[in-house]
Amino acid sequence: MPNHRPFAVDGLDVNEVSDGLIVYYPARDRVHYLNNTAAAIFTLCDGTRDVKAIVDAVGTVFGAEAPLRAQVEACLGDLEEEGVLRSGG
Amino acid sequence: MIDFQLLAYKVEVSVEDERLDAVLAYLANSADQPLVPRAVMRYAVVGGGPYAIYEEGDYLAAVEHPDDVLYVIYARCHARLLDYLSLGQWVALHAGVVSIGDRRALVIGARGTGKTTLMLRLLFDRYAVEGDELVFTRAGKAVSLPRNFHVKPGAVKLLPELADGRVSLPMTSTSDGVIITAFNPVAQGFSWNLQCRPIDVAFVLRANHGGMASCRAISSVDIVAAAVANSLPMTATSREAVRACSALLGEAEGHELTVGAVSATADLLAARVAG
Repeated sequence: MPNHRPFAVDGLDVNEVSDGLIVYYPARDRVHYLNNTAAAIFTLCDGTRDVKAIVDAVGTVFGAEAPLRAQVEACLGDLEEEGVLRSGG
Repeated sequence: MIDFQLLAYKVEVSVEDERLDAVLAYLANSADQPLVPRAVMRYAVVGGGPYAIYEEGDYLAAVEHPDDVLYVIYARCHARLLDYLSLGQWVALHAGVVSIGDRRALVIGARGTGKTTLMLRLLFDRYAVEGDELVFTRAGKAVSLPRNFHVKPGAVKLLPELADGRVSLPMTSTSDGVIITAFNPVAQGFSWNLQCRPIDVAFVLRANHGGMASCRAISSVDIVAAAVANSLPMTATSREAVRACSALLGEAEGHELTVGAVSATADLLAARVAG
């Protein structure tokens, strides 16, 4: 995972709300409710950042409240497992 | 002849048996509504029992009892309204609406969570209640279904204001014998004005089975999730429900309202809406 550069799959319907994102994935007819932290992680996954860069960026955004690296990786793992993120090399 | 507005429709029911007027009063709401009717639904009920029911001149059903006439026309005109609104991308949610001061609140709750009892309590407390059961939303705005409040026996025990007047209200009975009365706010001296505009505060009702009423703030993500879970699947795809609920509630203040004694629950809700 460390060298992967995750990105959102095509066709997602992303709805912004005041403290997160609601992501609908038509291919699986699934809705994902992302809180503030998960929404920030998801938004950073644009295919240009590897996991370390995402962890660093989340740390910059959230400061002392930032999730641990393991938590960011777990979130990325969940979103990949659900199919809304893919990893480029 | 019974006639009333049902959002985008005017509904007209002509009857030969005058006894049906009192039965069909259950169906007729008096709400002031923000939409202009686009079409008329016409029903004719022929005979004095058994009855033949016609819709737009076409034979629809034959039934024995006045309550069955009510059931058939109620089901048909609401089904046609849902079809029409879903074609226009409106999404239906199980929810009530009330305005307190200049803030408008959505009260989300599945059937059996006590929406009607709570909304009636708020109405009796002189707040501007618009509906108790179903809300349609599109493009960040919401409008209630103009339906007389359906009062079950349990609500009468909790709302002393209903005890005296209930016997005079239009009523019907379910297949298992439960008497349900139709409470028309206008007929009981309340104003009943529906609006079509955004929501400022949203509540998700949680049943508590005799416990204390309580309220806690929740995220807009959780509020949208509750709204999507309480949308009617026959009116919208998952994508439409997610989009509509996000647009309506994405910026709203959210609360989870645990239902306790009805007055305490209503007071908590009113205090949160008033800010």
